[in-house]
Amino acid sequence: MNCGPPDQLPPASAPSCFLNLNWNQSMAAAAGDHLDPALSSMVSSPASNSTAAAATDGLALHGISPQPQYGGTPLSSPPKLNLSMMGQFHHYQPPHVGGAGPSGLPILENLMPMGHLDQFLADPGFAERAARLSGFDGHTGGSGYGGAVPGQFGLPDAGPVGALKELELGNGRDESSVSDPASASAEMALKGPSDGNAKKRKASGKGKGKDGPGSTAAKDLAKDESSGKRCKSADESNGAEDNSSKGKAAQSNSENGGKKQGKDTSKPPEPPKDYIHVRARRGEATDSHSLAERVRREKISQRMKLLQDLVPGCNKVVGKAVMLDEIINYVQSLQRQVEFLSMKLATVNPQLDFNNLPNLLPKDIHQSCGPLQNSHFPLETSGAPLPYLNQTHQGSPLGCSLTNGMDNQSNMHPLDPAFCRQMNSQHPFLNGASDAASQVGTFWQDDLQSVVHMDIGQNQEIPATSSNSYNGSLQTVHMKMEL
Amino acid sequence: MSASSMLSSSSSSSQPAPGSKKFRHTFLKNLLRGLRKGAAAAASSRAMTLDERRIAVRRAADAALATARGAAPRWSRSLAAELSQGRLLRPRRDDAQPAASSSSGCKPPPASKMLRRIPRRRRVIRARPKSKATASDLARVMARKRARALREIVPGGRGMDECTLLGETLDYAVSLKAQIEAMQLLLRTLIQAPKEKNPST
Repeated sequence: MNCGPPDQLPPASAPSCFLNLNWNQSMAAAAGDHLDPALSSMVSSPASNSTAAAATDGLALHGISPQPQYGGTPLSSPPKLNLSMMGQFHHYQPPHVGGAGPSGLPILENLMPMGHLDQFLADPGFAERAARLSGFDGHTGGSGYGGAVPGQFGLPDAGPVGALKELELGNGRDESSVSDPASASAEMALKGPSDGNAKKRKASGKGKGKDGPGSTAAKDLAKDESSGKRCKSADESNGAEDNSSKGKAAQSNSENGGKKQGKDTSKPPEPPKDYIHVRARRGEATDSHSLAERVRREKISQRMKLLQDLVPGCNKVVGKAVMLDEIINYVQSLQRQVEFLSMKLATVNPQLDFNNLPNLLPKDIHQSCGPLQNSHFPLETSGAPLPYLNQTHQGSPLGCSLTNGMDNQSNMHPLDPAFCRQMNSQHPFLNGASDAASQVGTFWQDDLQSVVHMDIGQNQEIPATSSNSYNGSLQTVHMKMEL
Repeated sequence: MSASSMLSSSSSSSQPAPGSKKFRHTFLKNLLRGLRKGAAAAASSRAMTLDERRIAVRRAADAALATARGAAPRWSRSLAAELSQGRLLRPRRDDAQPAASSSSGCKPPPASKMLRRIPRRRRVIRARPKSKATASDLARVMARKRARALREIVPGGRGMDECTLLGETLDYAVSLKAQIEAMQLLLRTLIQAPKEKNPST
């Protein structure tokens, strides 16, 4: 991977880390006006030896990360990738946004139809994941996403595109607007030798460049929003993941830097006309096949990283096959859990009648935080510190369900170790934070209550007595919440 | 109840991201709706077997999931399609699979199971001379096997390349997690009620 998570790098440095800093001095000087001092030192280093550059790479990657100096205010903007990034890039390079707009559109259209993924941002754990998932869906033509998205992403895409073009050109004219790729490439051709490694722009790299400020914004938002367990765990896992992958990024950058430093001969830049612009690295074949292959590989590695965040226990493993194994196991366990839960639902409700749900709503809501830990990896998954408030209640349903399950299917066996683990894990959590429980309790309370309210609305056969008991029990629930 | 019709008709289906509260909400709604429909459809004399009920619940849950997720991801669409077709394949595969790769530690078993189950493809690959089993070759082969397994797990994985497969897996896993949580909540609700009514416990 090029630059692991450019999460907290300022916008200009994200393309920089992608380009691996083969900028010439003039570019560095020009960029230095705009850039963080640390970044400009990083930028000016490419002329020096490779190891120093690599070292500053790694250092700067770490050093810059806590200082997103650009457009600090947009980071607090509403959770939309577009707006935060637009804000940042407007701050950084106002003239370029408009200019590079039209060129930005065709370039990134294929890769970033992520309109619907904005809703991922409601879950802060997915903020950066959504940002990284390029071409996730919609470019298969599904239900009108393709049309909506370029409109959304056209302008923000212009930001990193503009930034990239600006930095690659390395002209003294920082503020000049580059109107189209052709002229950009013409400029690059003129400045070929001084360009260091002339590389084509990589669309996914732009994606990453965009991700940098976007996910920074999202991470800040993540801290601001209160979405309960998922927020907490996602942040922790992301934090851990980011630290580890920053280390990896530093390593990979040092390797790449080693490859790319040295002679200053440039490859003739081919005019980036069409959709996916890939930059051929030094020492690699430049034919279209290997470039496309590389793009594909980088997309895959992006997604593997996201999956690593999701699947618990995947942070330690390195290697595609083992991780895929873990992912497969995880998804299978989830499916088995669904199977098991549906079995439980079937046993609980012999007639499959769910019309009396409002009767049954009562005091269980504050205990609803319990089952959220009923997963295969109870210690590791999100919201693990949520306690089981009533162990007895917990034990008995599990017990009866286990007995129900045992005589039916053999595929319950793999669940047994999971459930033993869960039974054992309940004990440490009994003394857990009750405030966390109440927090999530309210969270779920709203959910289930509103759902049930909707059901009540739809379902008019509720007897008066049951509704009275329902209201009464709701009050008791509220009282319990305040404990 | 046809899943595809639900998919097309429900307007809010394309909105929620699987990680959000709203998604769980929507899923719960759909689940309750589907369960009621299933209960009404199955005359009380018929679906009395535990298995039948379980299958009905599972089907309702999957339909609710696909509907709540919307038509955006590919797995959602193909899951809905599977459901409307009558879904004969899905449970069988689940039964056949778990023994294969339930143990995360050992790698050979998944390979051998897959060997049995996909003899055609396996034979083609084995025909290649295995003179130099370099590490990279092995890694590639192993990764291929896993990708194949993943394809069979994620609904609609057959027609996807590796890249989209990973993305779909991500979305699918998150949606499954939300589904599980919602179902657990529902279960808690259902289970707590009798206990509340019987203060003796």
